[in-house]
Amino acid sequence: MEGIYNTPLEDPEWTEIYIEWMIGLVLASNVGFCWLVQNRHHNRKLHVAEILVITILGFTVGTLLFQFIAICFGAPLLTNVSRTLHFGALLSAFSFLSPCLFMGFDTNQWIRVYANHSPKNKLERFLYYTGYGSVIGAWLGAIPIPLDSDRPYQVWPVSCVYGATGGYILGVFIWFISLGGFRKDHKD
Amino acid sequence: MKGEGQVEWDISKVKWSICLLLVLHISLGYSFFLYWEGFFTTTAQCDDTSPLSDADTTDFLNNPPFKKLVWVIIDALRYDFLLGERSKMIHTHQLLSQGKGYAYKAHAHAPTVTFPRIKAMVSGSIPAFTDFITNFMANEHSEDSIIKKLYEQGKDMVFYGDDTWLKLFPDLFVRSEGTTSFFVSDYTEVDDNVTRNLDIELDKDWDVMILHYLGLDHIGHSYGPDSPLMNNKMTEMDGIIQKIYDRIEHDESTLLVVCGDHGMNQVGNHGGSTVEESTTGMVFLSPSFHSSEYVVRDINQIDIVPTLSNLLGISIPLKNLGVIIPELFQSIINEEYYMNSLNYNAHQLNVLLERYGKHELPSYIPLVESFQQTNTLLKQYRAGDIHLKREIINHYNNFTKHLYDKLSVDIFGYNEEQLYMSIILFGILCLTVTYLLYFLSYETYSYVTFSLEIMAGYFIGSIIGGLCIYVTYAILMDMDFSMLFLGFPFSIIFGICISLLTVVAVFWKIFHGYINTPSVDGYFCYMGIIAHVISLGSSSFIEEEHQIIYFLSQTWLVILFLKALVQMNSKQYSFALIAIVTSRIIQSWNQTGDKYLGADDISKYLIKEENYYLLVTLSCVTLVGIVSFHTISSYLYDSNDKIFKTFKSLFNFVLYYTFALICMRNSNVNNIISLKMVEYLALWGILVLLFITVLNFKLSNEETSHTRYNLNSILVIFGLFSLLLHRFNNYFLFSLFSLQIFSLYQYFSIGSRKISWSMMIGFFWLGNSAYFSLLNSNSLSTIDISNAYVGMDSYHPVLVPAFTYIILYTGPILYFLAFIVLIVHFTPSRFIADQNITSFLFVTFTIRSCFSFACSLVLFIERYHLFVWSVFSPRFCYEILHESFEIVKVLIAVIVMSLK
Repeated sequence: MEGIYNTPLEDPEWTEIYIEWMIGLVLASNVGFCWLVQNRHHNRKLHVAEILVITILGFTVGTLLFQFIAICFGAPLLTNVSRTLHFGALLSAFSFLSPCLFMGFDTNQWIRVYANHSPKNKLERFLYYTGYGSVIGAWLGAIPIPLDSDRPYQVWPVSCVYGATGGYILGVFIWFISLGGFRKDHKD
Repeated sequence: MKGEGQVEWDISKVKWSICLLLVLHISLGYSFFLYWEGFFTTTAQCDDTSPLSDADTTDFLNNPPFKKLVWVIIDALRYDFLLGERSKMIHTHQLLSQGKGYAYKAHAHAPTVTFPRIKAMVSGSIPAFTDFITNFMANEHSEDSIIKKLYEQGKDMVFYGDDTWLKLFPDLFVRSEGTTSFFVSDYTEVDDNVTRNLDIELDKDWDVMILHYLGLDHIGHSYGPDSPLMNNKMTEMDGIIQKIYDRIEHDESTLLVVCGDHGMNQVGNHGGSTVEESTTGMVFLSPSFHSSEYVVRDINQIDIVPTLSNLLGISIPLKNLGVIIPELFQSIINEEYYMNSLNYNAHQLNVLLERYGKHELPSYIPLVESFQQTNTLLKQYRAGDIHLKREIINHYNNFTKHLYDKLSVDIFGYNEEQLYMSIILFGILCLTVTYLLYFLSYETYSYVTFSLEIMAGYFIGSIIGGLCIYVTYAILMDMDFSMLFLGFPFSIIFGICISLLTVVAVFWKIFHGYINTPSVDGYFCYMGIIAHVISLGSSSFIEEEHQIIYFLSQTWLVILFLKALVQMNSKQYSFALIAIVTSRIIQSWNQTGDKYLGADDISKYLIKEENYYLLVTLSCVTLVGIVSFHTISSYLYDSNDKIFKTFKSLFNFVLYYTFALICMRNSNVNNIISLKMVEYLALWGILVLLFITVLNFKLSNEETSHTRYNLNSILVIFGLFSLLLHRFNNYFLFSLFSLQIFSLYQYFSIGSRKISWSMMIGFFWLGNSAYFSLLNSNSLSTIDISNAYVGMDSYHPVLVPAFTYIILYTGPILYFLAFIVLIVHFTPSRFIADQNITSFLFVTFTIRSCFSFACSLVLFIERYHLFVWSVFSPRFCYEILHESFEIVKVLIAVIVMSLK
């Protein structure tokens, strides 16, 4: 029975490697998609260099932001810095980078999509669902940490990484379902 | 009725609501009383009138191997202090490796505090959980004990050490001197007093000498187990053991026992049942011992009772549950004596079993039968069948051990009918109050109604679930008891179904526009409360309840921050950010709970010697901060009213005086008497301040600014008072609390300034995080009494418990007062303020009643769980304390309302 729980992913070092792969994947697909398909902000075509700058800037800012939030929620400040950084980077890739790339740093758009819950098109709905999914997933992922069963997945940030990934996947899934229901507005 | 328009309220309605609230509190208190009676005080009755067994089992006692006993009890001597690798007790180790003694890891039963432990070590019985509460009220021990038996045998006994012994056995010692465990910070003099007497006594004549050293425990409480002082203390104790042993070295009839009464956890406290708290070291030393190897074996602490009885030739106390320790007998005495002792021990336990009236229970019948068979074997042996000896010894050993295992669990019974009744009462109360709130809801709480419907639904579900358990139990009454658990899946499914139905109904209502959509933080608040209530079902979440509170309050603050961010209100979100960061620092100030107890935290960092200046600076910031807060507020609320002005300057005068006293108290005044004097004066100063404020309330004009000034003064007074009651390294926490409260005040002062349900719950959570950050937890051992004696020379039956209570609830009281001040500041009229305060009390009472219900249900369901005494019962006791605090809150609110 013990073996079931001990997949290599639950080793924190493995988690870091997993996070790095995951980030690479999300980054590559986002940047690729932005470069090849959706490279317009306000009807202006983005230059490759611009895309790169946005990626680097957005990713870094997002990482630091989520690291700060994680620390506010009780992540260790002085120890396990690398793990917290990885966790921040993962959430940044999941929920901060893509809106930066596809909506730019336009606060009004962000508020419309995230705070007023009214994404207009397919892409924005994708950002909306995955963004909320991964953040809420990471939040819920912290629940098992204080339990005293001392399983490897309770080590910070393993369960939160699971939660974030699960939330992201769930977000994609919900987005996929919602595609059927909202066909009308797919022109804009 | 539901959220549409304002329900008309008048003053009498506020009064009636307060009365109703008190009635509800009383009925909740009654349910607690019923539950307490049914759960904690129902240990099996032991008939202790009939005399013990026949004479032939006790004849052998006339020729005991030891005549004299030296019993050294070192308070809080954890196993590793005496026998572990870190132990500095070199001489003792030498003696043990020379084979002059036996070493044991003795497991103490909960509660691991001195008084019940002493009782257990002299009578061999397992104390009930409630003995923890009576720890502070030690009175004469009337039950049978080895001390009594020794006295009856005419032994001359002397005692030096903790005066609890003298309270327990007032007249049994020939010579004695008690030291009081009163000054926890004194760790040299308490022990020097004992050792001084030891030096005199070693030359005198006695049969039994008992010494109880307290210094080690005091070091643990003040500096923790890893302090360098601990090593010095171990060396000192080792020297004492060596000194005694040198004296008895040529006297083969003297036995030296060294043991601890309980251990201590990683911060130096005790009371719970973690391994660190319950594992103590125990060593038996005598020149007549010839142990072949130095190994440490595991025993129960109460095993010392029958062992000492048999070694000293006295009869075993009536209620003893311990079993004799074999090695001690095997090495020195002939096997005949060992076998007789075992036989006696087995007989005594068997009699005890009959006295408890349990010998006819089916689960005991095989044991009793095996006992009778062994008795027959013994008869055969006595008739001449010599080779049966080993077998008899084995049989008796098995019998005593098994009987202990079973009986130690079974003597604690529950009055289940009463428990059902009180749980149903809890449930009904919880339901009533939620629905009451639902009907009493007023305009400001348009979404209170909404969230309460879900909560009510959840609890209807739970109650029906509870009834399902009851019905299942009733049906399966005649079957195996474990079948009761079949009822669970049904009740859980039922509860979930009903909750879901309610949620659906509420959403349907929202959809049709009956109810305003609640805000995000409103949603979050009731979800958080429900999640918190559910988390009580898990023992580790109870142990780590602070994590849940921290997580919820932090999320609440983050939601506030995001709300401000969306509205682009830079002032608001920067204040929210300050609150978030402050909250994070507060949370890492003191590491509490169970899992990470003893891990690094800010408080531990500050008390290191090299950070002394930082500690002093931070604490001075707090001290000066309180006074300057008051100075600023007296500038702000200027007035032409002469009376008001007079009282204000009087207040300032006394405030600076008290402030100076508190500063003096915290500077290094080493003389204990003058320190107590300073504290005493400071307490009076605070009392005078309170008096002045009350007079100011009553006599000056009824202007809003006056009321606000006076309320601020009350906050200042409470701040000063809590500085007197708390440790120096926690002083800066109060600055952080104030900063957090201030930034939240600023946050909410922008916008509608309406008191919402989410604010109430938010402040409730923040008060709870303050509670946990002051090193409280759900273990009874963390209640801090070190400063409860402030300004007193001896135990005071009213003040010490009262101060302990205030120390415990400093955080919640502070946030409660702050919230009342906030309400008064935010509401235009006194009447609306009263209304808001009342509804705040109703909301917190609702939460409390839900928690009480959940706690009682969980404790009942888990009553055979391994952690019932260490986790679930303490949580229930805390729930009672929390409920009592809720009543205190009502009283404070009534006083504030009547003053305004």
